[in-house]
Amino acid sequence: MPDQTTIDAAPALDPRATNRDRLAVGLLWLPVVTVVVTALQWHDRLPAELPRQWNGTEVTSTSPTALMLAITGGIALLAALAGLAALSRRTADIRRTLLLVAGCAAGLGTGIWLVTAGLVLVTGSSKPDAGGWPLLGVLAGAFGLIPFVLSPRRPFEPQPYSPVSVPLAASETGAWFTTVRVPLFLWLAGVLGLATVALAVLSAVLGGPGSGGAVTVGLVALSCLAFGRLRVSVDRRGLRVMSALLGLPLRRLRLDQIVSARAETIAPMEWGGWGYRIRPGRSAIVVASGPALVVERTNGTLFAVTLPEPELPAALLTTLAAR
Amino acid sequence: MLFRVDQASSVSIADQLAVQVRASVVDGTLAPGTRLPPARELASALDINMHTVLRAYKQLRDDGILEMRQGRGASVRADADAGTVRLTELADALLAEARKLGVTLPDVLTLIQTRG
Repeated sequence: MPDQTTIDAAPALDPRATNRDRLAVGLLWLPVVTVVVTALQWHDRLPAELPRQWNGTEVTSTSPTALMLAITGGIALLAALAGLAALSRRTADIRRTLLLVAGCAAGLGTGIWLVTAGLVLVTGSSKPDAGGWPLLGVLAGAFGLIPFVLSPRRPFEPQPYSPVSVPLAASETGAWFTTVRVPLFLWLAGVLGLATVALAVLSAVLGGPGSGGAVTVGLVALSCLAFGRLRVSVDRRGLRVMSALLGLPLRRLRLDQIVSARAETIAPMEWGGWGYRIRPGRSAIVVASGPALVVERTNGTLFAVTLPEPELPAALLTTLAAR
Repeated sequence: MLFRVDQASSVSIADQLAVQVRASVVDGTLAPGTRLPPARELASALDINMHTVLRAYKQLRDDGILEMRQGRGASVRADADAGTVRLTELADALLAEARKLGVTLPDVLTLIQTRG
């Protein structure tokens, strides 16, 4: 294109996983092994139902042991699989966060399993007085800190961009389109989709319990799918962000709502994480860390969407908004 | 990619669009397999007639740059590259020159065939 700029290539950080990353990912299988080994060992001695909720010293609700095992072990397994995904070069930028979240989930699931099943075995009662033990199960979530610390920190280097303008003649109009693909979200959607089906089947077999979990996991899978492929356009109607797979408009800003737009490098954590983020004074659709189109609105708030090479749409949006 | 249309230009709007798509394929902005916006969408974005966009897309399809499938819209052909674009440009230049000299299309074809 005539007015397209080439971006100065910044020295890219090596996206490959290091040995410490591999060790961290290997550690994520420890919870899976723990749950499997203890389940096999304790299989004969555990009652059909395990306590699920305590109110003070009293057990207020129970769940079938198989369901407890499937949920806690399933969480650990999903976390271990997410760890494997974290080794991919594509996930290099979010590797540490992914390991932290996966580790916390795995630790939490395993901790809850160990504490509940352990308590029942040690006390010999199917409705034991828990005392402070459930807290320990929750604290096991801190396991996530181990892979997080093991995985080396990747310095975040903002890439230099050359400024660009789109001079449009009075008789000219411009329209810019792109599709942003996020393979990680699609993979997550796939894995969570399978988990939803598994939970739904399990829930149906057991006649009820776990259906809430299936719905929750299903909704998360759907939202991953929604952000897996985005269509972004800038034209005389303003800025639009659509979910390409679900055909849903995620965000529309008319030109008269826009003061100007610029390209910026953003860190997801500064905007509240991944997905559709709303914070006081600003909102964002974040699917990656790095370059983003940041729009300043007439009401004083900011809206950002992460895109590769956002300079051109930023310049076009500014030009169109100024008309 | 950026599409721009100049209503005041002497070049037809369909040709303006086609030239920009070709240029984007040559410089790599449009990678093979990239899907172009649906004709209706692009027309509405640029405030032009949908048939104008379709004319540009069809011209690019005939040049071997785009493929159009029912329900999937237009996308850059997997084998479309700078070479394909260069070849169609040379063919266009050859035909324009022949027209200027009053040489008919069958004569141009014969000229090419005798060299093949």
